[in-house]
Amino acid sequence: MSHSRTAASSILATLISAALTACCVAAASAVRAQAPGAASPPTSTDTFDAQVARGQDEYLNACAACHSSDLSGGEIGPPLLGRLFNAKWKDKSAKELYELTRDTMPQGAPNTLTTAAYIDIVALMIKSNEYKVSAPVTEENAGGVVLAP
Amino acid sequence: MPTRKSALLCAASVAVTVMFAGAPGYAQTGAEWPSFGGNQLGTQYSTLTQINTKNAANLKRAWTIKAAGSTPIFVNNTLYSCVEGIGIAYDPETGAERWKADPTAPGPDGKPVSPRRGKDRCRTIVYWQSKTPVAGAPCQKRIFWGDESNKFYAADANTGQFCRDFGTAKGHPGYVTHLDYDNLGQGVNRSGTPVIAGDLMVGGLYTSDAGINPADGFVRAFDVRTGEMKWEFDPILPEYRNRAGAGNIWSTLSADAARGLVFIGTTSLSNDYYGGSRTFDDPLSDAVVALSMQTGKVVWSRQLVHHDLWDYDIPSHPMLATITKGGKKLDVVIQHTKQGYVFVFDRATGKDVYPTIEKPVPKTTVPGDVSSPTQPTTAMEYGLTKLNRDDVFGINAEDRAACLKDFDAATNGKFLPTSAEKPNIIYPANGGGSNIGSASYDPQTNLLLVRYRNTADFVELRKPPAGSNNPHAYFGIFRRWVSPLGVPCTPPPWTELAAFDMGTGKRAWTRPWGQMVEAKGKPLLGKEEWGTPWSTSGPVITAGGIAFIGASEDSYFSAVDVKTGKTIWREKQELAPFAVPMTYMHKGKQYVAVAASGWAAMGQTVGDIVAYSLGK
Ligand code: HEC
Repeated sequence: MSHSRTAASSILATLISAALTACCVAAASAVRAQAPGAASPPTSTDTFDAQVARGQDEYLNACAACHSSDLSGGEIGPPLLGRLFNAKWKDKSAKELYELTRDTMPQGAPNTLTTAAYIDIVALMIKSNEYKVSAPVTEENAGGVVLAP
Repeated sequence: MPTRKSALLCAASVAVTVMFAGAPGYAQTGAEWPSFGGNQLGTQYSTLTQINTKNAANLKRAWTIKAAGSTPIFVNNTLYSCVEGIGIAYDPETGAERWKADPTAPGPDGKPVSPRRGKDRCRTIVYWQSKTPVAGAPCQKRIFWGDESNKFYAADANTGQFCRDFGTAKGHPGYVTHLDYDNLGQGVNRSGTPVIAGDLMVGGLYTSDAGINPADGFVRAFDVRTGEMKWEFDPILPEYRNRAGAGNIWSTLSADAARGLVFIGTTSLSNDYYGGSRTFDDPLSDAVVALSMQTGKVVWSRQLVHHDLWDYDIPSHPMLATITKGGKKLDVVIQHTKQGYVFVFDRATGKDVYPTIEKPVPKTTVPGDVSSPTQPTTAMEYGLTKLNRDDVFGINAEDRAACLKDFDAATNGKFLPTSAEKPNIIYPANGGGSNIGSASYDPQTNLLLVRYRNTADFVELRKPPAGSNNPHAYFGIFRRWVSPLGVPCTPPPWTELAAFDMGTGKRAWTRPWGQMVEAKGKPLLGKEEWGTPWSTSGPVITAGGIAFIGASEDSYFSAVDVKTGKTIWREKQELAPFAVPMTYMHKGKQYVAVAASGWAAMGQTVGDIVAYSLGK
């Protein structure tokens, strides 16, 4: 959803400045550095499964509070798998899912993970929905990765 | 070290005596329904009687609004609803749209009020009218609504033109925003649901209390005319504001303008499930708080969960009812809760009307955390309270085996903190028990109806991954505790509707509510006596003796006899009405309406608003 890109970044700027002017001990310095060790960009030796495993850690840390640990949805966040998710995402590209996620999630603090972390989480969503993908997803190839069972 | 007394903070000096008489006509529901839950008192009750137990079986669809938003309010001879940052007015007879107030549309000067609006659903819209209207001037009657782009908009209730005097001092005529002020943390996800109190629009902010360093749960009061911020309230004591965030009011609010009080229900501080970063005194988290309308200062407060380790935020507005007890009419605050108790307090003082009992609970074993030795409870308890291995459910042998495997791998118990070693089965779940709008009070029968769930969550504590910016030693992750097929592992009924007699505190009746129709997106029909696995919101009661309620996955909208709990009428909707209904009278006809648009948490967004009335 590219239309919200600029608005999202200006909100982000506001959030960052809010965080900086506030008290907040540990977090202010790290708004952009959410990525755990996981965030190193995928290398040529990377596998899809390794990427999914990293995505799982990232996801639990940044997303599970709202979408639940098994992606099945909670009281706040919708399920990221199953019938309704598929109705929206089937036959779209991994790039579109990546961009929407980056531009809107985590809700209230969009675009606060590294690109690699977002891509890893997209791999997790792909795996969880049993879309047929076997090679690691990268920012470059994501446009050509189709979300199809 | 936190003090863990059931804190009854009393700022006696606060001007309780200041009178803010509400504008005539909207202190009482009747023909009108000017606010979420009926009026600012939020009892979810209407005095209308045209539709009653004798004729409700003849209810017919009166109108349908397609691709719509929140359950409307009805006031000023108009239905108002909101969706995705837009305020919309509809004709009360036909549901036909009159106008839209879209902040991104060009205004009279060619400029939009805002380049961006939220894309989220909208919980409700609220109405205000001037007691001293200036003839011919715009915006003497106003509607207000919030959105995910963190704004509260104001528009003329007659024309839908944005009120350009509102928010002007901050450089954005037409709206106010929490983002103009310091929120002491990140992630203001959206502006909360406002309430009108006299000439103030009071609204909280919505942030993720699960987050790493969320904003503090500020509540701000804005002048309805100018948008000037009159006061702000931070639920975190000043000396601890650099140590935690949240305590946000994500639910609805209520107000008793005659007493000069605004009522809020706060959430836990960040983060959920692990409290090692907030072992300080936080009497205003998970609390019912009465704020002075004039100053925003605390008049009284009652904490309903001490040092929350279960995500038991106060899920709904404090309900300002007048109950009958011991032959006397008492102005009270009723608070239903996720953890499954109804609390009843004196409205002016916060003192118990029904006893609150501090019950000893298990201690946490997590290094660095200090749990409260007791938790507040009452005799009006609901939701799952105990789980034996034999009672673990399974819709077939395989499913049951999987649920038993979870059971054996985890600890479980009401108010049992999650350990660092083992997963924990938490009940009631973080969705309740009861949740937003789950209860309504009927002054005729003195009954309080509560819709609640008997399901559980499966929670684990994790250490943040190396290199993470998460400053907490642990964070909790949860999933709904379900079988591989997606059916709750807790024994049915999974949802019930119950009536409590407010004269005695005893249950009058209890029945399963709703039905399972699918699991994990695949059709799966449950028995009627099992109830619906997932539900939120609750009923609205009318003087016709009926409770109108959706709140079930099976998508029915129903009329229930308040005295017996029996269903009198129901009709299936395209998407489930997971919203609190409303009712109004127009040109001699009573209508009952509800947003039947599913549940955002189930991946559903916009849907229909449907209305019913008696057939010709
Ligand atoms: C504070 C709660 C919260 C957090 C944290 C959060 N989300 Fe969301 N998410 C939501 C909500 C609410 C929606 C629905 C948005 C809407 O309707 O506008 C949503 C929607 C989504 C969607 C769109 C789903 C669809 O059906 O199209 C995706 C994808 C998503 N989230 C992924 C994530 C990921 C990945 C993370 C972690 C990086 C995350 N979310 C963190 C609350 C959250």
